[in-house]
Amino acid sequence: MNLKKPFTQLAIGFISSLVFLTQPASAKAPPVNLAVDLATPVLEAEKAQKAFVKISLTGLQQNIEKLQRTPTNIAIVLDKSGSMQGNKIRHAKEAAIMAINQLGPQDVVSVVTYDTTVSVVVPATKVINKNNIASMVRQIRANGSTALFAGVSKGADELRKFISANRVNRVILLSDGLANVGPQSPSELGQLGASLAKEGISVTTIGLGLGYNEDLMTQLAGFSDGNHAFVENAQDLAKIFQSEFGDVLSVIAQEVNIEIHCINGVRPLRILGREGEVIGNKVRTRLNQLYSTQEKYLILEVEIPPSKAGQQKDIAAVQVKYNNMLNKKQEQLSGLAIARFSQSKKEVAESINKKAYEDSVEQVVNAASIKAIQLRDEGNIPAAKAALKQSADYLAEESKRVDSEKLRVQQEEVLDDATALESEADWNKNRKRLKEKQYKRAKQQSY
Amino acid sequence: MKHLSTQQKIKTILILLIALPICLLAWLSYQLQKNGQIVQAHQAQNLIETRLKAVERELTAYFEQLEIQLRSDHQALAKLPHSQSTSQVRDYLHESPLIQNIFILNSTGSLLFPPNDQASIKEKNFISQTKPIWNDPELFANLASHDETSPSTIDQSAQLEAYVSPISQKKAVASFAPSILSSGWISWFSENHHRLLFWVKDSTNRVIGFDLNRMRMLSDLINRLPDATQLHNGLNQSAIQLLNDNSSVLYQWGQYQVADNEQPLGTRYLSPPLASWKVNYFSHKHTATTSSWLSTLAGLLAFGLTLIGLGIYFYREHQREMQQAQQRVSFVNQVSHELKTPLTNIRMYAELMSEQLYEEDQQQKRYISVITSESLRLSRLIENVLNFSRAQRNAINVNKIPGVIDECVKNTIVAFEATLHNKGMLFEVNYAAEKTVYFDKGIVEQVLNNLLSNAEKYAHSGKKIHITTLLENDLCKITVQDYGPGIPSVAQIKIFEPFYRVSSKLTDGISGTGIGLSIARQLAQLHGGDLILVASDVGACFQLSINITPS
Repeated sequence: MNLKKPFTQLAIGFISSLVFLTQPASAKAPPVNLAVDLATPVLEAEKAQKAFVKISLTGLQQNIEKLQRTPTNIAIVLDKSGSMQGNKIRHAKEAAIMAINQLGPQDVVSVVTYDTTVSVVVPATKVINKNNIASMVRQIRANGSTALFAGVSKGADELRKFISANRVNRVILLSDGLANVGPQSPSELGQLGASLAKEGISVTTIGLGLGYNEDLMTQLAGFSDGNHAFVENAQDLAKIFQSEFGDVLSVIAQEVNIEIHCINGVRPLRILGREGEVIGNKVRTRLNQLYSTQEKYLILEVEIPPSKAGQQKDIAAVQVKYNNMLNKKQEQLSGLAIARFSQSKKEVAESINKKAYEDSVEQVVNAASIKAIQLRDEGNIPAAKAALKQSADYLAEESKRVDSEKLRVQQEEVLDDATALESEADWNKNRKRLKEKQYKRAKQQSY
Repeated sequence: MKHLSTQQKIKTILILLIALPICLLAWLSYQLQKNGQIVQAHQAQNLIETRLKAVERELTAYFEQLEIQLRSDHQALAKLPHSQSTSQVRDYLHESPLIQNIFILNSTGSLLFPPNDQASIKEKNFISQTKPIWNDPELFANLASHDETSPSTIDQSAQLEAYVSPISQKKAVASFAPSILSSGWISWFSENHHRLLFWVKDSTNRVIGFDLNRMRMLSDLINRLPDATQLHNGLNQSAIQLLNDNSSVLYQWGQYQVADNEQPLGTRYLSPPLASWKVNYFSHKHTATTSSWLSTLAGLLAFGLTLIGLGIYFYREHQREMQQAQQRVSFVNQVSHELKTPLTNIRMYAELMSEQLYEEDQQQKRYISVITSESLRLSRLIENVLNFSRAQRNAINVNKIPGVIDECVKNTIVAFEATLHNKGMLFEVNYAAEKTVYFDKGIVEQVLNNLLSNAEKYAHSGKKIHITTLLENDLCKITVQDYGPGIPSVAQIKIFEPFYRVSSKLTDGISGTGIGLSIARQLAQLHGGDLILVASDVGACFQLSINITPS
């Protein structure tokens, strides 16, 4: 016993140092950082005004490789309707197989295809025999109509066989055409997405080519907090699948519920970029997941009642609950937005939180850009262009104000977008590109 | 013509023999097929019904489970203290994938949730959309007291349809949730869509209405239905579609490709709360029948071919036999012709000889008379054979010339007198046809020869032959009556058939070819008359009638 003891201690010491090495701080510090910032922390006194609160969640760098990464539960839903024939289906199959090859035996995958009917090609199964799965995927042949809704439904149903809060539960939908069997409107698919989100299932939508309905695809992804991508050439599918799986494999937190309490008479006006529920002075929203090293944020526009100079007031209290995927526990973070009131305009200008301000402006412009597309859809090209011009002016003004290169670049982008509105011939493609950009901006998508 | 027509007859009979069974078989198999088709169609319809029923059951089961789930949710929500209820209900909605909105009515029918003053935009929308429902507590009260056999009330004005849950459900509920009074579905219309709302009323008269996420409900329903890869469900050659109240396809499964505007083979409307939704069954219409038709047709064809083969075989056999018979007949003809000339010579010389014999050479005379009469007999036989073959070839010409029938009869009898006399037989003749009429002497002689030689052969025991002649209008009738043993009644109809002999026993010691009467009748008929057997008490009585008008 006496002889053994030093060895044991040594061993324990060695192991604990190993643990310390491999899990830098993660065991103690939360893997998510919450920042609640006012874009303008110092506000003009004696004046009712609007302000932007940025609630930012950043997944901290985790050494995912060495850690036990979160097991995944993925359903790949492939459109195999007639329009997918040829290169498209070939690339899609290759991309899917390649993506599945990244998974390990702890992961669950299923492959569902749809045309007029739906086929569960690979029922939910642990990724142990990759060759077997690949050969089943290779047998997919394209023809028929597009039963997108049923395809997603069956995909989600496959996920449910292994659904767990400790897995990343995701449907990856690839489509190149318009849904024409079953529900086909964006709002209907959005409703399904919202319902799936409540079960912790995200739907990532990949639109291939120029034939799909970008509104449907972004709504489905948006309401379920998945990613969205527009892939013009089938060759790029592999890259997109790679990025998507990269995201999926780096999930560090799930079921992120954000509650914002506006205090001291502050009134929430709108959430920019994300869906949320505003009841009185309470705002509630949720993210399905957070990825390591990625920042996800939402911008809340609030109306602040006038205050005297020199006063300091709490604007909003933020509470975030999430499932920590590393230790499988529910954790909680809280933050507070505080504003100071001053008579000095200079002080107000100097105090601006540049990052938060830029992001707020970006989201405002993004919202305006979404409006502009609506106007364009209604056929009112001049109004749409005017809206974008207005955004450009707004960006020019704001970029000068905070001296932001990023906003200047965006101003040019918006002007480009304004010209993109004009061309009737390229509109379909441009609209898809714009929708994708807007979606990525709003959701801070990594790819 | 006669010869050809028998050939044709045989052909026709053969064709009939082939065609009739084929037709019969075809008809039978058609009937069988038709019956089979009816049975098959019936079975197919039953199968379709069963499948669609199974689909309906599956979908109904979803709602039954849902009701149980929602009732237990109701229990949980109803237990909440009033102070917490609003936030707890919101949390519930936040978590529930299927329920998007809830309203709670207190016992007086006023709205407890969503709170009118502190509601989100979504909740406000919901309040205004469902106003006709929660504003009308009668909707729930009425239903609660409603007779369960008629579970639906329709409120046209508000575009509502409501159903009380089935009674079986209620009993099940009562056992574990006694506080629940009643529950049911309301289908309502908003934003161009039918939406479903499940309400539960408890003993405190509180009503909770659950507004279903339409899309999630559809997704769940689809997930209960099979996908295209599940082949074991026997749908490889068929497809089933789920259609909503707008008749647009929501989901389809099965391997069969449904064409646009194709009519379903079966349709089933779903039970509430999915009333006005339906499931359609599609499949190939005639797969089974065409193949069985083909097999029947093949069977018929094979049968027909066999029959035709057999027919051809028999026909050729027959032809061959006919040919052989023809050859035999022509051989006999040839021989007969060859025999005729020497016979004529024999007779002629015998007669010459008998004339040159002296009176005293009685012995020789007798011998020669035997030779003469026998050669006469032989020439009659040959004449018969030749006539028969002529008749077969239709080569007999009636050559009417004027003459007296009595004389002709007398001449014929003379030739027989000697032989009959030898046998102890006598002629008794009544002549009554001494007028000159037109007739073929050869034919009359031939017929009489036949009749008389028959009488000589078969009726010598009668000792007497009675002949009468008679002229009657255009006909001359000659009756030959013998008093022999007569003709047995069974043979009476057959005696005119060629080659028929009443007794063909050689031991009878009577020779004959069996064609005599047959040729006699043919000759009589050619002469515009007939030869018939007249009924008589004793012996046989033949009556020959001939037409005596000038051709």
